[in-house]
Amino acid sequence: MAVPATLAFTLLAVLTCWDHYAAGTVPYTLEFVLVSGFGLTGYLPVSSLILAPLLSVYLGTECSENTMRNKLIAGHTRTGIYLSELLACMATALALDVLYMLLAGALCIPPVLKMSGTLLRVPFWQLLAWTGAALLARAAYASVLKLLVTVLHHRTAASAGALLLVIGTMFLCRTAFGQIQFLEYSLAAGVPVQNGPARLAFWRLLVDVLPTGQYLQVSRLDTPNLWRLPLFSLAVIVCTSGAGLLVFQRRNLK
Amino acid sequence: MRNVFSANLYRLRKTRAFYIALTVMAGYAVFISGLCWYKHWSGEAMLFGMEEPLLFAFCTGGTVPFTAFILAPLLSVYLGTEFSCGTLRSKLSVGRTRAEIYIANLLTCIFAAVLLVVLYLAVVLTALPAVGEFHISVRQVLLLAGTGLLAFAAYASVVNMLSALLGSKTNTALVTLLLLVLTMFMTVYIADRLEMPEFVNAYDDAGQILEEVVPNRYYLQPKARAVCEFVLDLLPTAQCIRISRLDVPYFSRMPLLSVLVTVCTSGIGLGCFQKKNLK
Repeated sequence: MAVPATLAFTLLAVLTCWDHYAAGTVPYTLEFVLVSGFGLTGYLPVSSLILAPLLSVYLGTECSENTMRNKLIAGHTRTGIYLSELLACMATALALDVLYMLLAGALCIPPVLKMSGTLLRVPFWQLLAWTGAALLARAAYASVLKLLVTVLHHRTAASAGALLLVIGTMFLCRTAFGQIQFLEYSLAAGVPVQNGPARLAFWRLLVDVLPTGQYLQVSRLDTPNLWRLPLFSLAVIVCTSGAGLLVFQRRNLK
Repeated sequence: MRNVFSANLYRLRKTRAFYIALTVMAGYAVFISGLCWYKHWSGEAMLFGMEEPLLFAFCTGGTVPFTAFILAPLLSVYLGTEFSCGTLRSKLSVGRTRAEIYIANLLTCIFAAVLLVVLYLAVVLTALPAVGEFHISVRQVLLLAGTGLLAFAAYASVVNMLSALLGSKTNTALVTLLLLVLTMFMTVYIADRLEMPEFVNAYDDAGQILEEVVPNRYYLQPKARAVCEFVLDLLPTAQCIRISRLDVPYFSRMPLLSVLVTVCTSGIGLGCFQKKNLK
C-alpha cells in the first residue's frame, strides 16, 4: 500500500506541475518539485503519513505475532534483531523518497524547462546538500518510529501512536515556523519583543532537532542552519537507537 | 438492547484507552483554560469572547479537529477489540441480534464522544471569569454546540461503520486517522478556495505583478461553489472546523446533514455487519 500511495502522491505533484505550466502561473524550477516530496506546500509531510502506518504495522506485527521469540530461539541476539529492523526501516523510508524524487524529477523536466528555461536556479551542490540533509532526517524519523514501536510493543497502539506523532509534530513545526517568522520580522523592524532573541533561538533549535522540522525546512528551501541539520539527525539516530536498545534488552517477550 | 448497551458502557469503563482519552481531553481543556487565564493575568486585551475557547471543543484554532483525533483511536480500539477477542460471537451466542449489537455499539460511541465534549466544556468554563463575556448570544453558542455534538455523533457513526467493514483494531485506527487528516486538509483547501477573489493581478514572464486585472482561475463559479459549500456542511470534520471558525452560512442544514450521515452510514454498516463472517 505504501508504494501505490507514494506513486499517487508523485502523480499529484507531477500533474500539479503540468497544470501550473498550462495555466502560465509564476514559473519555478526543478528543486521545488524535488523537495516537495519532503513536505507539500512546506507544511504537510505526506511521506511521513505514508511511512508511519507502513513501519508501525511492519514492526508492530512482530510484537503481536511473537515472531521475535522465534528469532531469539534461532540464535539471533536482541541487539542484532533491533539493528537489523532499524536498518530495514531506514532503507524502506529512503527508498520511497528516492522513488518520488526520481519519478517526479524525470516527469517534471519538460514543463519546468518550458516554464523557466532552466532546470535549477540553485547550484547543484546546494540541491545535493538539501537532499542529503532531508534523507538523513528521514533515517532519523525511521529511528524514532522504531523506538516508539519498541516502547509500545503493540501493533494497534504503535500504529495510532505513529500517526498521532506525525500529526502532532507537523502542527508543532507549523507553530514554530509561524513564531520564527513573527520574531524575525519583529526583531528586524526593531519592534520590542520580550525575550525575542532567546525565543527565536529556541524555535530555530526545535525545528532543527526534529526530523519533521528538518525536512519541512528543506521542502520550504529555507535552511539557515543547514550545517547542523545532519549533526542533529545523527544525534537523534544514536539517542533513539540507544534508548530503543535499552528498552528492548529489558523487554519481557511473552 | 438495553442490556447490550449497559454491557458496552461497562466495558468502556474497563478500557484503558478510554481513560487515556479522558486524560488527554482534560489536559487539553486545562491548557486552553490556562492560556485564557495567562492572557488575563498578563494584562493583554481579550480580543475574543468566551465562545471561542468553548468551541475549541470541536476544533482548535479553526484548523485542527483535536477531539476527533482523540476519538478516532479510542473508538477504533474499543470497537476493534470485539472483533479480535471474539466477544461478538459470545454476544450472538446468548441470543443478541447483529442489529442490536451494532446499534448498541453506535450509541456507546456517541456516548463517549459526548462525554469528552462535556468534560472539555466543564473544565474550560472555569476560564469565564478570565475572559469575561461572550461576543455572541448564549443561545447561538448553545445552537453551535448542539450542532457540533450532532457532527460528532455522525463521526462516531462513520467510525462504527468502518470498524464493521474492516473488522480490525489496527486497520480501523489507521483508516480513521488518515481519513481525518485528509478531510481536515481538504476542508481547509476548499474553505480557502471559497474565499478567493474573483479577479487578481496578472504576472509578466519574469514573475512581476502587473496592474492589469484578470479573472482568477481558482475562483469557484456558482455551481462549484454550491457543491463545495454542501461538501463542507456534509462532512462531520468539516462541520466541526466551520463551527470553531464561527463560519456557518447554512446553519439549518448542518444538523439535518449530520442526521443523514448517521442514518446512511449506520444503514451501510449494519448491512455489511449482517453479512460479515465472524471468525
